[in-house]
Amino acid sequence: MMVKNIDKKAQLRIQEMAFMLLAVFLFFVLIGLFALSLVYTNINDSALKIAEERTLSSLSSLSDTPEMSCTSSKSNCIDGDKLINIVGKEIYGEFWPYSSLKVIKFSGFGKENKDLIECTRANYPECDVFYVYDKKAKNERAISTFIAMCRKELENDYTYDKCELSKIIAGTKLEA
Amino acid sequence: MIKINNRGQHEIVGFVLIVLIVSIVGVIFLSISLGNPEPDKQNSIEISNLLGAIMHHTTKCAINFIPEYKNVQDLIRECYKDKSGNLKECVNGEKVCNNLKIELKDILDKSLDVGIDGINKGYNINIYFNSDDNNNELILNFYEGNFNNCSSIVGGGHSIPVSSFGFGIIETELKVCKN
Repeated sequence: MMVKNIDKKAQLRIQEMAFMLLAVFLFFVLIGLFALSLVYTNINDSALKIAEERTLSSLSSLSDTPEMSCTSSKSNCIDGDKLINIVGKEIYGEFWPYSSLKVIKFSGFGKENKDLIECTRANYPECDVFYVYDKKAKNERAISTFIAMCRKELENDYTYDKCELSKIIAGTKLEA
Repeated sequence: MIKINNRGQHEIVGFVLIVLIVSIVGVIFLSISLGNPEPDKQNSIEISNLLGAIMHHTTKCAINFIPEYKNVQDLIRECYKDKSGNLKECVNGEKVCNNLKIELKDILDKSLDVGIDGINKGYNINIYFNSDDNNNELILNFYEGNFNNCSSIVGGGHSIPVSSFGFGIIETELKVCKN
């Protein structure tokens, strides 16, 4: 009788220990999953950052295209006098991989969208924003980078390059 | 019988102690790793592009005659020469370094949108001359806003050769605290 009781108690203890070990194991598995999810989020963030930087590089390389590049061969610079001639030409939407493209001059920095003066041949250079083209994509994400915009200016019978900081903004269509 | 019970109690106490120690170590480790996160410091293409574009920006300072206006890059060089004793003024009578600071501040304030409700909390620009023997000489340094509780800190740099013959370079570094 005594031996039977001790046997049962021992079995119970073994069961308790087994459950405890299972609980500890599950606890560490949960911690592992938590750590993995943290690592995975970091990898995802890095991938997003790399993709964004690649798009930014492609955007700044727009300034090296013959349609926009500065005549003085400055890097990261677009020619305002060239840009005004391609404003509103929707055909460039087939040429560049963006759903919309606009350039905001330094005079337009800090202004509300509705207050920006649109650049046309009539008011250039006294304006704020060049709308090159817009495909009116329903779902688009805007990316922007800073560039210099230069134009020829005449003062005291001398011509000189007047450059100003500008922002180029391109829209990329998001897949549904 | 009493001996068996004692041994069981000892085992349970030992096990509880081990679990407690592991839990305490885990909690301490988690609180250290998550409690006080250092903001990310990274180089940003956007900031480097901003600095590169600012260098071409034409200022209102003409040194010899109008309209020979200097761009920011040339003005930084002139300011460095100014610091070395070769004093120069803009045609409008303003000191070159003063003009550089005013123009740079205006450009950075307008382009970086600094403030509590803005995209960025603050910025810090540091312009210094780095000689060939690695001696740094400060040319201009100023900041706007603050660097408290930044979600991340991004930065970029731009190098300007002092002359085509070498003799060191002028480094421009910009750090921005993101909101």
